[in-house]
Amino acid sequence: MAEQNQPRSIPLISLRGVSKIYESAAGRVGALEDVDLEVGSGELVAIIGKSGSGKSTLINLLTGIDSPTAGQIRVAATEVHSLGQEALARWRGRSVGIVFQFFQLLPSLTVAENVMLPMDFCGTYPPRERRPRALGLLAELGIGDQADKLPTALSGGQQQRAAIARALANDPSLLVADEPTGNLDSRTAEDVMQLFAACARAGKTVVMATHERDLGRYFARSVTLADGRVVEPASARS
Amino acid sequence: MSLAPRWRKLLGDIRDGQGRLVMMVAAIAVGVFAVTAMSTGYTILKREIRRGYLATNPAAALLEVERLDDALVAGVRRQPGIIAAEASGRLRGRVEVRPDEWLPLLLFVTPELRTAQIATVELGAGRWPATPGEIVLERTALPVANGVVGGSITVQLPTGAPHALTITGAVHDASLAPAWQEQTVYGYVTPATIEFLGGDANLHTLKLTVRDPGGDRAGLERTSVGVAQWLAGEGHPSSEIRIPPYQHPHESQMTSVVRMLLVFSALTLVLGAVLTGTLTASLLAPQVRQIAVMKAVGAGSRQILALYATLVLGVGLAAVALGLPLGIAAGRALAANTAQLLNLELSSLAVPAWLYVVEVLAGVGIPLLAALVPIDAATHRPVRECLAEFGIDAPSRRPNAWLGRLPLLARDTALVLAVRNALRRRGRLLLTLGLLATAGALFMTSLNVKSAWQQNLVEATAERHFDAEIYLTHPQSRATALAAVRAVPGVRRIEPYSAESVAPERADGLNLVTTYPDGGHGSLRLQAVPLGSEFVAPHLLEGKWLSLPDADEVVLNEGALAMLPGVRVGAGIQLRVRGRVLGARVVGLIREHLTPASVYLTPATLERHTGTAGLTSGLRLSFERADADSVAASIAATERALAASGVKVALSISQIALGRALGGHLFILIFILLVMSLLMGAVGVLGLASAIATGVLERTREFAVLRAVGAQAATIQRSVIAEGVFVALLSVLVAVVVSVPLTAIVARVVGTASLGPALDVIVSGRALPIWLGIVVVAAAVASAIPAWRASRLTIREALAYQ
Ligand SMILES: Nc1ncnc2c1ncn2[C@@H]1O[C@H](COP(=O)(O)OP(=O)(O)O)[C@@H](O)[C@H]1O
Ligand SMILES: [Mg+2]
Repeated sequence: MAEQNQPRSIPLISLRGVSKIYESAAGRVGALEDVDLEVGSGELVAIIGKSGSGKSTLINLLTGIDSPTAGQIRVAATEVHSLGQEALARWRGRSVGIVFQFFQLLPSLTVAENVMLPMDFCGTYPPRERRPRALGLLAELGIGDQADKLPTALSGGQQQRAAIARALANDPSLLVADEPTGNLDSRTAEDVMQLFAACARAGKTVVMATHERDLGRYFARSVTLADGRVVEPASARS
Repeated sequence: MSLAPRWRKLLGDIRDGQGRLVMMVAAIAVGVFAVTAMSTGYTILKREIRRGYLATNPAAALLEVERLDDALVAGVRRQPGIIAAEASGRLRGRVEVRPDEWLPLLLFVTPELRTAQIATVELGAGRWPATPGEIVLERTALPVANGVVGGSITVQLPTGAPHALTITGAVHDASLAPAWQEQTVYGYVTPATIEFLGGDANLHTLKLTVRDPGGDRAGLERTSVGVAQWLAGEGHPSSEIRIPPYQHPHESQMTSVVRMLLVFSALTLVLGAVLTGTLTASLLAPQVRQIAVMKAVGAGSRQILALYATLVLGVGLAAVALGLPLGIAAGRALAANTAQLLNLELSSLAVPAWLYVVEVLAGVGIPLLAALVPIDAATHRPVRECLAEFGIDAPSRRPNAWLGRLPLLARDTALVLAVRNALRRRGRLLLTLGLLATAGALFMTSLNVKSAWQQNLVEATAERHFDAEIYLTHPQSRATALAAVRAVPGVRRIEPYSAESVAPERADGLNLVTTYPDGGHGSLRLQAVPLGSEFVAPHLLEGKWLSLPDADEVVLNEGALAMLPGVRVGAGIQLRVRGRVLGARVVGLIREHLTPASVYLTPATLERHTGTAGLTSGLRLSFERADADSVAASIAATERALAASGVKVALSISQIALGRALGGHLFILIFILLVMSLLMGAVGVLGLASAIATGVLERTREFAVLRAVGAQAATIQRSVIAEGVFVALLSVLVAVVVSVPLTAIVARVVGTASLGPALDVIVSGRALPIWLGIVVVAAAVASAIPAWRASRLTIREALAYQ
């Protein structure tokens, strides 16, 4: 265990002394305290911990959805903690794909349109290439035939596949997911995990928060959080 | 080319938010309609009244000279600053409108009616008079005189017998107010006709046009005085110089009234815009999560802002498309209607292009600005906050614990909840209150002003306790006149009465007045009423009423005070009457309704100063029976008795005829105010409905929890409706308070428009209950729908609600 907390390849993500403190009516809550973490390109990393341990907070800091109280967050060449809201949105749209526990597909758009949305907002692909690309992604994820349905017509597993397709729309180098299987039955959860694994194999870095330890076999590394601190060193699967 | 997903998403939002969007369109359309109607009416009227007036080539100044001849007029033309000069005449007579019933006649005398250059009139029907027995009437005077073109009317000058004249045509005189408003018949004749009628056919009035007539008044006065001095040098002194304001007699009143309406309509648009803001907020309330997701997948705040701004822009355009054409139509109708009140010929109903542009910009821009506030807030909310909903929103303020202890509320948790909820979102409460209170204030104001106007008419009548006035051709023996009338059966009381036209005395001894060409508007009258008169009931504002038989004391009404700058109670005053100077002390100030500017004094004082001791120039009478027929018969009998005693009558006029002149033409204004307040009220109720609906949406979880702990659907419904009614009641309180100063402002504008003092600020007894009823019922109905929706959600649905 010589290389605890060390990435296996060039670090894509680097967190240095990151803390997040929430101030609320109930007082100060230290959701994350002094976290250091590096994740290499192409790694599939799990953030594990009990409810309230700070997983979502960590994920949100990584995607710039939330900003740290202290510390630095770098993803590739981007100093995430220093970006303004507009710049963050642009960066997030092009470089990060996010998958939520509750899928969060826009109910008034078809599945294909949901997938096209990031390309639309970021202007990444020429308009006429967007739909073919969305259909291609959906087909790769095995729901090509659901493309023109509304999200509510799909099962949970299908919705999460669509959400993954949307996360991949702009071909980001980083995929981030917060309990993506939390709302799925175990069979479907396995399928979804396979998809994330395939993404990592295809060279994408995947960071996923989960409290389901039995999915551990999919991960090359897992980082365990308790009370906002990294308690268990990252471990290799092999 | 298919639509980009974000625009598809917007289409979906439009589908889901139809109700609110329709409300927005309606609210803005109402505002655009009101503003467009008022600004269209204002623009057309302002332009046309100017154009119509200037088209007559009005005289900038009129000089009364003993006798004018061609050589004299030619000499005047050569004076500095003078463009043109013309001799004309103006005589007062009377016209028989029904057997034995006469109205004042104002005769404009011009040698060549066809080729007159100054203060021209336009022949609308028939032909110009060719022989002495012919006359043309102003078109609005035809119905007043009960005459038709081709028919005849009986006319009498003070110096002649009654004569029948043939009405050969009708003209339009754009410089006069309509005859029915003034209860005066306007006629146009040649000197030959005057001779035929037994009058003085010499022309006495010199009409002048000058360079820059609308320019500075001091310059105009200098030019006119210069002409008067030159004439005096030639042996022709001027007995009066009239420099009327260079505009239609009703232009400034019309302008101020329509301008006030314009302000109110702009307010309606602003309220509509505010409502758009609140509706946008409620449209976006259920969207927070979706906006957060869009931002999470790469949408910038600005992109989302643009998305929803486009939506509001579309709403604004739809509203303009609805409100603008309707508003223009209404504005034109308003202009046409008002034009009739002003005796104005609308040569064009065209609306300038810039007005359209302003209307569109305002209709789209103002609501957009208002909507940008919630759009900006929604698009800039942090993503994390929107994605993680932490149960029920904790109120940020201390709960108002005292609410629960109020005896009325203590027993009813639903009511406590309602009131607390209404007070929870202060910003939204203020907006809704503002909307409803403004509407309520305007509604009550319009009813208050209506009452005040009616009161004004009542007071105007109450100030005149007589039934008729008789003007004599010249001052004649008071004793003879009184004795003659006393013998007439049916006469209850008789008092001598003299009225003279006066002007403030000037250092140069000239008699300079601001009377309009109709001889009434802008004039200052001297009225002699006996001490202890039963016919006048002065409403004293300051000082005292006349109390000494002959003490060089005068009392002014407010109109006179306004015309005499620098004069106040206690000050001395110098007036020029019948070519003599009358010096007196102002001892009192009175309020009178619908009465021209007047200076009151005793008959003895007037007689001493004018050398008319023992004479009177008129009589006031009251009769045993005051119905129209009896009054007409009594006046006729009185006139016969006076004639039999050798007293010559110029004109008799009954209060009934005068009452017609006071008429109700200001009711159009009150009607517009009412309509506008109801439009505002509609916007206000829409605002309330949306505020309640948004509140319900935000509190979905709270309701679920309430139901989970045992609240019944009816309790929740009652709580939501009670919230709406509570806000409505609060708004009525605010409206009552605001309506008082607002009434005072409108009463002032309306009072000025009716040539009198500001109307009294009357709080109409009906206004409050009516508005209270309207607003409470509307509030209950408006909250019933969200209330029903709130109570219908199952607990599971509500707790899972995202
Ligand atoms: N917006 C917030 N305000 C206050 N406390 C918060 C907020 N978000 C998270 N927390 C607290 O921070 C801690 C970590 O939360 P979170 O990161 O959501 O944990 P996890 O995702 O592992 O369940 C918890 O104690 C939680 O109550
Ligand atoms: Mg979590």
